[in-house]
Amino acid sequence: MPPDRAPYDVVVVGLGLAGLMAGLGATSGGARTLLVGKGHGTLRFRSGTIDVLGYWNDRSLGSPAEGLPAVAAERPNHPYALAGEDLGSGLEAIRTTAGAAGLDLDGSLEANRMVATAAGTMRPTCLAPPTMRADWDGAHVLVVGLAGYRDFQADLVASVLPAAGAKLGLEVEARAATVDLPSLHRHHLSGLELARLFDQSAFRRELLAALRGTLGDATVVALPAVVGLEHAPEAADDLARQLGVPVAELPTLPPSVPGLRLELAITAALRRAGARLQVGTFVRAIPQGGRIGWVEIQSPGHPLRVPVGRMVLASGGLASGGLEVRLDGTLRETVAELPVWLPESAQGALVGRSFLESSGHPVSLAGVQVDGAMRPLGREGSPLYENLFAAGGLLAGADRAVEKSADGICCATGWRAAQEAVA
Amino acid sequence: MGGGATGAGLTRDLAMRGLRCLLVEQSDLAHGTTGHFHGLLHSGARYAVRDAEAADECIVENRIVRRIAAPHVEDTGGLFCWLEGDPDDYPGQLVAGCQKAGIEIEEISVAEARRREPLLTPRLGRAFAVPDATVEPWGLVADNAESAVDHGASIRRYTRLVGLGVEAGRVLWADLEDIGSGERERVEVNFLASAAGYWAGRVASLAGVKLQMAPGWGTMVVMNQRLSSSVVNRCRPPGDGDILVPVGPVSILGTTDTTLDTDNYEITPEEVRFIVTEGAAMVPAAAERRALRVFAGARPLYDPGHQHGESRTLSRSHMVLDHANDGVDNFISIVGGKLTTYRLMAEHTADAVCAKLGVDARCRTAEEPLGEARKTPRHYSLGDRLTAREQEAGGADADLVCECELVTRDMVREFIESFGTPHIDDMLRALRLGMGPCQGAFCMLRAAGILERMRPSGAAALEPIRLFLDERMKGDRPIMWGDQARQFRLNEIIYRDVLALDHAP
Repeated sequence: MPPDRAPYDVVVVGLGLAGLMAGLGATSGGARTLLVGKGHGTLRFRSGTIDVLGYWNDRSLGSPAEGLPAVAAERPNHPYALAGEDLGSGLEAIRTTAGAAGLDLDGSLEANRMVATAAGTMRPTCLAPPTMRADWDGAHVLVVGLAGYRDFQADLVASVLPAAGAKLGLEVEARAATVDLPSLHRHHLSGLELARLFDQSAFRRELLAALRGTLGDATVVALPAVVGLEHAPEAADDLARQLGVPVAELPTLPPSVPGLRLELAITAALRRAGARLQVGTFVRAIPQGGRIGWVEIQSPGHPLRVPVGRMVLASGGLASGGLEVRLDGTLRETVAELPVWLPESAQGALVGRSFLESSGHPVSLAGVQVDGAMRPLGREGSPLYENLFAAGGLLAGADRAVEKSADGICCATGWRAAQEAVA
Repeated sequence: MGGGATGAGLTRDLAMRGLRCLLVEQSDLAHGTTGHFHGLLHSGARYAVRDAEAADECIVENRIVRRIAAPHVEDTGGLFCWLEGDPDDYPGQLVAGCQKAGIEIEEISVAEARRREPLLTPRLGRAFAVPDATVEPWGLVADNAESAVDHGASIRRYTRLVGLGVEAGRVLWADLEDIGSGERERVEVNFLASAAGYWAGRVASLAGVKLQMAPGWGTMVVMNQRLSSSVVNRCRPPGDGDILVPVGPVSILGTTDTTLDTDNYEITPEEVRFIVTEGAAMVPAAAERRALRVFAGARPLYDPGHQHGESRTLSRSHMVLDHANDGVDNFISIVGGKLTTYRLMAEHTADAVCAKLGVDARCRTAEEPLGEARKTPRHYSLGDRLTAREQEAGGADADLVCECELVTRDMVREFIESFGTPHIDDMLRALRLGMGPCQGAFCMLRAAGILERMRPSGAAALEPIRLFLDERMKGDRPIMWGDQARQFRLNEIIYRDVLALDHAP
């Protein structure tokens, strides 16, 4: 069947962090690039932080750099064992791109910092916006809930936060206040609606007026991570200046406003660089000889065939739909029907008995195996297609939930896959 | 003893005959086998070929339960579907058996069957309509219990029987332990009737009586949608995976039959796949749609021969055992049976109790409706609950904590007020919170927040979420495929990647 369109140099399938990183890599290498995906990626479900490596072998890591050699030595199919060298370049690329949109991402591979969450817990991360990098030790925290917003329970946060800090040797005091503002007088406020309210100075003044009486000896004001969307840095700075204390954003349930800020910053940069982005269509990769010949985009009316120069597959893991579990317990890769590797530990059951199983769930390690050039491997261990590269959540070998490594893997492998695809 | 459908029905029956009764339940009412079944109000057709007695009882009781418990019954009707390759002689036997038992059965055309149930397989060769229905067990038991109390009975939940005093062939007292407080109390016993189902053997052993139960475990798979409007039965001899029951917003695929004397039956992914595959033979969509939960219930079958193996061959009829034959004169047990005939089981037991006590009083439970049995049976409507919530909210958006199951903040608050310090899993049973497709992803954090505000527990505030996550894993683990696996990973992203509950204090 003949293709319907003029060729792109690089077609990226998947619009999550790995796909966007691959797009940045491809466009910066001068490639004509198409990014296409079934939906928005999991950035909108995550924190807007870049978690690189927080834990390895049940050990809390002071920095990602400290753990990376062990990962490479102990787990040869871990994405960091294969693409760890590109981690620094990937992080630099996202930092620069976010920074150009006014979103700073602070931090380095040499240190993990703790971000507090809407569960009152503390989680190690590598890069984070300034509003998530509060100095918790010795802090007196006023945790502010907003009436009508169900996904941030200030009482719960204030109850847990001191104990979470103590576990890390940090002295944290916390108390809760839930403010009821006329602008919030309705049920079912979403994080996105709140973020747009925070963009407006009138709403911030309303909030400030309500908070002044309750501030007391607070040294940090903790809010759900919804402080502004398009004018987020300005909103946070304005609040902090008026309150006289720093404002901390605590990541909470989806949709993630900080994740969306990051997504908007990167997609804007991609469009400026001439890439085309197409959201909302399922994609199949069609092999032709030893290569991917074209992608078939399930657009309304009839499928659209787009010829492929090089292709980066970044369709994600189980949550994104890049991987799927069949009724018989085997896994399938949904775009190119690549073989999916499943660890031996998954033979009995794909998941453990306890949700928070400290060793993680066997199915988490499942995924597509790749070589050092990010080319998916066949059952016998050699690359399947000369022009196909894979990145992100669909790669085998990492338990992202246990390691707190999902974002770093996307940055390293997305960047590496793009380098190989434009080489 | 025993707060399932039979125990609650028996207490009501005895209380209506003027006896002073105490009902003791070790857990919540309907928490055992009654709450773990597929929801079918049998027409009796399933038994018509092999178990004529059970078939007769079912059709009579089916009509009675529709009348006395209308609000809890949905008049779905049922279809027996004969697929190409199924035994040729079974449809004839089914029709003959039903006619003999007085069960209305009518062969309808394949086209008509498909009109009623568009998702039926292309392999459908013949179809027979029968008066199956579905029944909601928690409401049924609650109404029986309420009626019993109205007639003077007392009920103790979360109370365990820990000892029986037997002297000279009579039970004289019972030792009861409150599970919450651990307090014990000795109550005088004039007559002991055990409707403890699968646990009947243990009650009997406390009186020194040997009673061998042969619990037949049945596994059921809850599908996320209604896949049919009527009950869909496979038209072949009874076997595993031969039924699909629409229950409220979901469908239940059943079932297996494994005889195993255990309290903790572990469901295997293999039997779940088998049930889904067999269900998909009748309704192919069952293999593609999402499975939401699995559970298993123990059929309280009595094994007079102490034989083990396939329990489906044991009669589904019930038996009233007079333990005078075992040397205890004022003690009887009711064993076997099924939810459809719960009222008849209660009647037979109450008859036996009254005969032994010399009380001359007639059973009235077949005539007197339960609770608000004024509504006419009809189909479940997906919009009903939302309409009710919006009416409660005065026409505005309801303040929902759980969108999947339409649970409001006030419902959660009131439940906490009345319960004390509940687990989120208690909210699930009472309010359906967390029972829907998102598997608690959003409502867990919200419910834990409301709980912490009303019942502060400090650093332990995340414990309810952790317990609930683990409780859900039990019903989740054997159905880890398709969208259910996808939801699992999404929930892991939320509660582990983002909220880091794995390192909670």
